[in-house]
Amino acid sequence: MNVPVDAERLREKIRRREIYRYLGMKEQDAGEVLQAAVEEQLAELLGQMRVHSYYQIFPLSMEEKVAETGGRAETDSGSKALIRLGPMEIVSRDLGRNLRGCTSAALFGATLGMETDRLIYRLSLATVGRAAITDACAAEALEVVCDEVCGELSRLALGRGERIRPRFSPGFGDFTLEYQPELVRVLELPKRIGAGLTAGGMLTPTKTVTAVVGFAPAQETGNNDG
Amino acid sequence: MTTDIRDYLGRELLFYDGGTGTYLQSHGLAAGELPESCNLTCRREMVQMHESFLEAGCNILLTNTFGANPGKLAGSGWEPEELIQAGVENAREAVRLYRQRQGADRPLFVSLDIGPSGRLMKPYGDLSFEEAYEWFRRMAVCGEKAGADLITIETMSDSYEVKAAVLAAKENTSLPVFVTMTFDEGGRLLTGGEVEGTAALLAGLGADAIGLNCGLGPHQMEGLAGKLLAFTDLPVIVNPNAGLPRSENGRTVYDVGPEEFAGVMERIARAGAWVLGGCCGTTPEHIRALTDRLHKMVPVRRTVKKRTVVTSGSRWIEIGEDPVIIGERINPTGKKWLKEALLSGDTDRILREAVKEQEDGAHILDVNVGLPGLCEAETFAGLIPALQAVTELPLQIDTSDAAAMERALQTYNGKAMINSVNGKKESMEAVFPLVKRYGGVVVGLCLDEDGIPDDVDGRLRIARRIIDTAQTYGIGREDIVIDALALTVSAQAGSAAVTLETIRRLRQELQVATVLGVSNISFGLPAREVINSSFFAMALAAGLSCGIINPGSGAMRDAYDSYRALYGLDANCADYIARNSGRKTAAFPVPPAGIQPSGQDAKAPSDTDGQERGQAAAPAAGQIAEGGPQTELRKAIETGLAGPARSLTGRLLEQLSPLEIIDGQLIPALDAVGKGFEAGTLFLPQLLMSADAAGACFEVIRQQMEKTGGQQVKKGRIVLATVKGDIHDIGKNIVKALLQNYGYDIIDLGKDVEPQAVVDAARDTQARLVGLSALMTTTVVYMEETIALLKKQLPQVKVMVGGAVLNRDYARSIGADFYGPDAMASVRFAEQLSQEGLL
Repeated sequence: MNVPVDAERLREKIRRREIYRYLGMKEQDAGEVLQAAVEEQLAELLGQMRVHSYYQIFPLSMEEKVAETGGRAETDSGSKALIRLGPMEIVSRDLGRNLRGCTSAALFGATLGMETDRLIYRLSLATVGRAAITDACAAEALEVVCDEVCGELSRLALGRGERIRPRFSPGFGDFTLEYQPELVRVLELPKRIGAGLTAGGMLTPTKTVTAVVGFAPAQETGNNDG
Repeated sequence: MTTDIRDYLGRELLFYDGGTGTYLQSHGLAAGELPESCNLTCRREMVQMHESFLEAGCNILLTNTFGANPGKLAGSGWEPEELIQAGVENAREAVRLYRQRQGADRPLFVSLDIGPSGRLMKPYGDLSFEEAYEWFRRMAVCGEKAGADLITIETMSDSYEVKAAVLAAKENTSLPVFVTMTFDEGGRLLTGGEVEGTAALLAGLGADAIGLNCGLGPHQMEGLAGKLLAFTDLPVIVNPNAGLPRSENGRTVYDVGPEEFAGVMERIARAGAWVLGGCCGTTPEHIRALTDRLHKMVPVRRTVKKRTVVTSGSRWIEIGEDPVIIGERINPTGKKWLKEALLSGDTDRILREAVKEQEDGAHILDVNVGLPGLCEAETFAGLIPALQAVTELPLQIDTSDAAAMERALQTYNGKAMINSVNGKKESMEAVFPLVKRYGGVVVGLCLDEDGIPDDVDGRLRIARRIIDTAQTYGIGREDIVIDALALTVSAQAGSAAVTLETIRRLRQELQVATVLGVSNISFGLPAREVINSSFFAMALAAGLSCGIINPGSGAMRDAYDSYRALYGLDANCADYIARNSGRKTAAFPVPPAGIQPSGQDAKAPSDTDGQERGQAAAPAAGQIAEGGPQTELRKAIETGLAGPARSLTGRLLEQLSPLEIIDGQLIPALDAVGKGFEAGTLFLPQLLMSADAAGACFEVIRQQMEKTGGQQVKKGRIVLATVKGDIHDIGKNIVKALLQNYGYDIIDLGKDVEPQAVVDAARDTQARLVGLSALMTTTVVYMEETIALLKKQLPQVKVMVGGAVLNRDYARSIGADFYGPDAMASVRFAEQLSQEGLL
């Protein structure tokens, strides 16, 4: 399903603090020249990027997987889980923890589109400083888009008497990037949001995220909502 | 009964079937498998599916081959040919069985179905145009061989990919080609193209019918269908989903029922669509409701105004009443810098010029790479995708070499402007087949075997011949723009009047659009801008549709803006006011004002007259110290103010030599900022903005040196690349900008670079240092591979690396000589090698 993201809402939700954090600094160290540049680049980005997102909800089942070393479960670090999520099978301890207690989960992909890549590339030709600033603005914009998708999933969950878990992306913990190609295929991301993988297994356009979001019963007191 | 579906278009409404995937799912087929494998594993059910849609009254069966392309089937154990052949046979069998029962009650067709590749096209993805073409070619050839009556290319959301598919189908089969694209609610493809531009592209490629499918329900599609119907004179197809999808208990459901669906479709048919059907979520019941309601309706005929339209992947430009600016700057004639850039492969320099033309307000960019010693076809093949990755503007392919023109048109994403054909038989025979094959708007020059007529009648005669000959190739007048030809007025007195009258009569008598290379008029005259802009204004008033001009020229821009305001093309003079409000000078823009002394209020950078957009954030009060331009320049660089740095450099060049400015101001300023960065008092964006400001100074200095013939001394050559598989190149670009400022000659290979290409570049350029970047663990393996190859083939070359997942030990373990934790560290390493004489 697509989640429409309102441009005005995005504009309001973008946090300057985060943009400066991506730039490796604090806003108070910026000075007027840099601050003006950040505002100009943010405005240019918001004017040009085209957000696309798509999610699908799949039934989820998990079984604990006995560690291969000597048949003993890794009790201190938690054992690996075999996660069956729709057509996917994922082996991961950390994702297993995140999804414990869930009976379904959403897979989603979100992107700021190739317009964003084009803008950053264009800027990098003569003004690499502005390219770097725009890159940081885009990183924050993508976070906000993901928050919006999760907000939609959260509303959906609430309607089902459930709540969502924090989103978990390939590359987090031991949920390796090897799962990215399958995730992209299952969600048909090239067709749905115009995103895909390079031969090196990287998401393209560069400002693209995929993630898993678990749905758990609302009354549970799980400690995974960090 | 003929089997050519084109004979029925407009005679009766034709109906497609409904959603294949929907049918398969509801019958418990193909869950978690390749849907196309059902063509062989459950043939009976597939034939039944087709039959149920025929029973519902459809005319066109889509074969179950949407994803049967070599890419999607890779590793599945299936070959496209076997699944496609079975897919066509199943549909044919359904037709046979239906005919046996019902007789020949209506025309029935089997269409090979071709869906998108499932991969993203270069440069954003990794699928090349050639590979996509080959996949679609295999599908199309097999479909025709198996007995399909037509080909339907559907659910396309990328204009470049659909171009590959349509060309593959048209060039390798004799079947009719129908194309439907998927737009979002805002009326755009995923790759940004709009309905109008996409329609122009597909018409140019020779599609027999075009339309919309998937993505939206009938309600959302109605408005887009109206847009398409108003814009194209091709038959229009509309195949919506049964509403917008919704997730219910983990299943995708669609809410628009058969009657509601048919109700909206009736309105779409009344608006003029001739081919209707359904996509995701539509069942035989939807199609039954549709055909019940509409099978007796007579197709509605439309009269559509023919338009002259050029497109890129995401933008369309109409050449009509409102004149269009074609940027002339990417043409090596008389431009030393461009000759050098083309010969040395310095694409970035050319791209910067393109970006500048776009910022200056060009609508289309002319691209000419004609230079002795350069293969035009190869140059176009590399440059066009690079240009299209930085600018959305449509391009005008400018060449007299037919082979180069063909290569350029093949590579180009969109419907290009083609410059040019002329009245010579030989020229028309070479160019018109290319226009017909790839689509395009072609510039026709009013000259022939006898040269350029010096009277208006002679030029009109040639224009008529060009238009009439084009017609015999199936190219309409709307795809021709005639160049009345501006000759040098100092050589031929009175020729300008002939040109202007020719434009007037071309518009009035031949109803054809016009174009002019305006600047030709003033060769050999002083103050060329004065006469150019006056002539431009007169040509516009005479009816010029497109001017090939330098969009950066203030005087030309003034002529253009004034014409539009005066002729009522600029509503409420809004564009004119936006460009000129607050302007202090009446005729020509003044040079940038430079830095204001401390203490003055100098805010609102973007509104300041004469300063360039996005470059000239004004200094904050107190940031710039009092002092001469030398101190000011250093401060401007340190503060990261590119606009003032540029203008101050220009002023300083009147007093100092380029080298004195570089060594005395630029390098000390960069060093100060670099030290501040290393000490933690300044941060990366500040370092980079200083680098940008210094880069702006270098640009001014380089232009000055080109004029005086001087050469900047380079400290050494360094090859930079983001490794294979990796597309995150901002870190590499940062390092490049800093190294360039420190005087190194950078060979930038870009991103996703093959290991061998890095080695080859280092060898060819005799670089002694290679810098590699990689962002992710998955791509560091290619970095290691590249280093190993370098060490084997060019052991004397040093390698420095950087990237988020690296550290010193890791870098050493993969064989790198140096790890740069940040951009300044790379500069220091290069400086060290340079001092040791190793670069």
